[in-house]
Amino acid sequence: MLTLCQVLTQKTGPKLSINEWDSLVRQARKSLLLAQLAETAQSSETTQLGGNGLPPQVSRHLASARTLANAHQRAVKWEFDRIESALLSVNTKIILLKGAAYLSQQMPHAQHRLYGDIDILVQSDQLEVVEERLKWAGWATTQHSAYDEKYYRRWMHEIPPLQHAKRASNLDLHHRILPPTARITVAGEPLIENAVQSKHYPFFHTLAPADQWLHSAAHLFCEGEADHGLRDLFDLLQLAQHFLNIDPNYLHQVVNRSNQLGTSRLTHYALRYIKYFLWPELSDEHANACMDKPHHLLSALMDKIFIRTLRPQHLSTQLPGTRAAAKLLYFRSHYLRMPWKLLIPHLIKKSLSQDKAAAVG
Amino acid sequence: MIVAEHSLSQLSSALATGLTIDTFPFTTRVTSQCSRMAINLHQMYGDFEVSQTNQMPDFDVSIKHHRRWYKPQAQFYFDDYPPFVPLPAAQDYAMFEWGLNWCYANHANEYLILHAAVIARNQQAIIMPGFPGAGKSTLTCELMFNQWQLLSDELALINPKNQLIAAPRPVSLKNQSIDIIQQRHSSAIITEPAKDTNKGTVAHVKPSQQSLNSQQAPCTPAAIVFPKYENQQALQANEIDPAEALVTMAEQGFNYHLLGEIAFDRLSAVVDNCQCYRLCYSSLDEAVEWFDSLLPSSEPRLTATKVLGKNGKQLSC
Repeated sequence: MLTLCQVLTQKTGPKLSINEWDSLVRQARKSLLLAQLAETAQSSETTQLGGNGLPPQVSRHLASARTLANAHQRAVKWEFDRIESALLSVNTKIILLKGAAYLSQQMPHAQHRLYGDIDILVQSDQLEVVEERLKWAGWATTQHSAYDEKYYRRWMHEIPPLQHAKRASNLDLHHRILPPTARITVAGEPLIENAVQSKHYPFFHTLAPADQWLHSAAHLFCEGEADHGLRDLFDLLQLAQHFLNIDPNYLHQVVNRSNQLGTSRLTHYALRYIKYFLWPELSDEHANACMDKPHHLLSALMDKIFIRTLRPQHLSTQLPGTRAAAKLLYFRSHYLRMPWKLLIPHLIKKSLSQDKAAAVG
Repeated sequence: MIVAEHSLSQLSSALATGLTIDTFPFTTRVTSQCSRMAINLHQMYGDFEVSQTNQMPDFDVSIKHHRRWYKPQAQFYFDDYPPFVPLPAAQDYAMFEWGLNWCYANHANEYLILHAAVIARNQQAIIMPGFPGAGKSTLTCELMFNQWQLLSDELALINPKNQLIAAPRPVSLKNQSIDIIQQRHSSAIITEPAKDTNKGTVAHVKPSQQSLNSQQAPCTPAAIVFPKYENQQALQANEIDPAEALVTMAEQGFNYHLLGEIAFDRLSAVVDNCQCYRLCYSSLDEAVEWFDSLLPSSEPRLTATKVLGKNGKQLSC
């Protein structure tokens, strides 16, 4: 198990040397998990990680990360306030997704998390009115070419990202959780139907517990960038533990729902790699109960990719072949997103426009 | 052992695998195989201690060259990640300095960090918020050569006790300022200028020994001065409302929004203890004289009645 994962999941181990701390802090920072590391280091009862026993070079950076995480939380809560204000008159479920959802449910790990943008899901026939209200409240479409604009609105599960003109905060407005053209996809309606009202932020809804896991797993395992896979896996672990405390059958429900909606391949991967990185005791029964399991050869290939791309992207823990794995991940995400007849022209168009940008810049 | 005690070739070898320097209040590990980096670090950081013990540096940065044969580029890495677009290779050292400022500004939230130059005398500090084109760097450099302690030319670090923490590093000068300072102070050690940066021609000046000697002691904020260079303008100093100073300085905060209420309380405490001025000048000599009158070297505390204003007349404060 990676040292960072051991520490994050509070598995006891030998006392860490200063060199190990050096690598750990950098891996955690790169993976957006430094504030989480700060929390684990503080609350751990093991003497090697106890609050008073941390070297000062380490504790100052953990403290700095905490300050950042606190600022992010404040910012997201203010965004909740502003989004509510903007959409007060719209009579439809406004469903928070991913990080925003974790924070709205006051999940413990949400306090030590960083937030890049806020994702919300609405019914597709309400998309236009919601977008219009948001624009009146100061959110603007980010700069995109006419091609990008058309691509998003026609083929994607979300409209082009919105950015607030004054606060520069980012808002992603979804009508589905996966693109309609994707090889693995699910319509918005079944998820929206089961969404539950938030207890702490009654204006908003969140997906049903099993659907939250399903969505986060789908998002991670369709992703083309290897930035913060470990953070997303950690989120999935926290989700599982949070809901298992409430209902011991939670993972069975997740698998059943994934089988029902057709995303069990992605759920299978999520379970497999959470076990590999963070939760070795996880029973194999759940991953095995996924209907759409990959062929064992494909699984071996995916292992080669994901054990490289989900780990912290820092040299201290990089495996040989990571760059190749990252490229494969990128192509896989595009392959999943569109059929060939759309994908090939799209990739050509994108690579030409990038060349043009590079020549100008 | 200080950097100057290494030969250039020793320093180059150490730099290639990672050289850790005490850049109070932080330590920085820098890795580079670029010759200009070795030369400039040897020159600029001569009086800085090289960390011998196996310790974890605060910042792990590197400068690498890419595209050797066609328009070579320099890239700055922090924790093995490049936060910026690459620059022409000739700007590699300048990029290191800018990049390290970015590291301080973004990863040291124990301090409230403002974009400002800070100088001090007898542990009494004067903060000069950094508006572009104000001539702050030239003025800061000039003051340093007139026995003022340089805390920083870019970043005011304010600790939880509302004190200014010194972080002296090479001072960045632009365009004509480079020649002005070299002419006024022949002993000044200045790097070869880097041309065609997005700020024009840029060079760095070695910080004074005095500034490094005094760096460990925190300073009490005594005054806030907004300097503005205006050609052929007679020196004019006006007091400004502390509230205006507070709001203006908050705008120059790098992590003001991150610290939230703490930032407001800390900055208010600093401003409460300071006299705040707007200073227009065209002569560096006159400006230095004015600063000297604000905090004379023979007296340990700011004496309000001895501030010189326009035409050398005393201002009553």
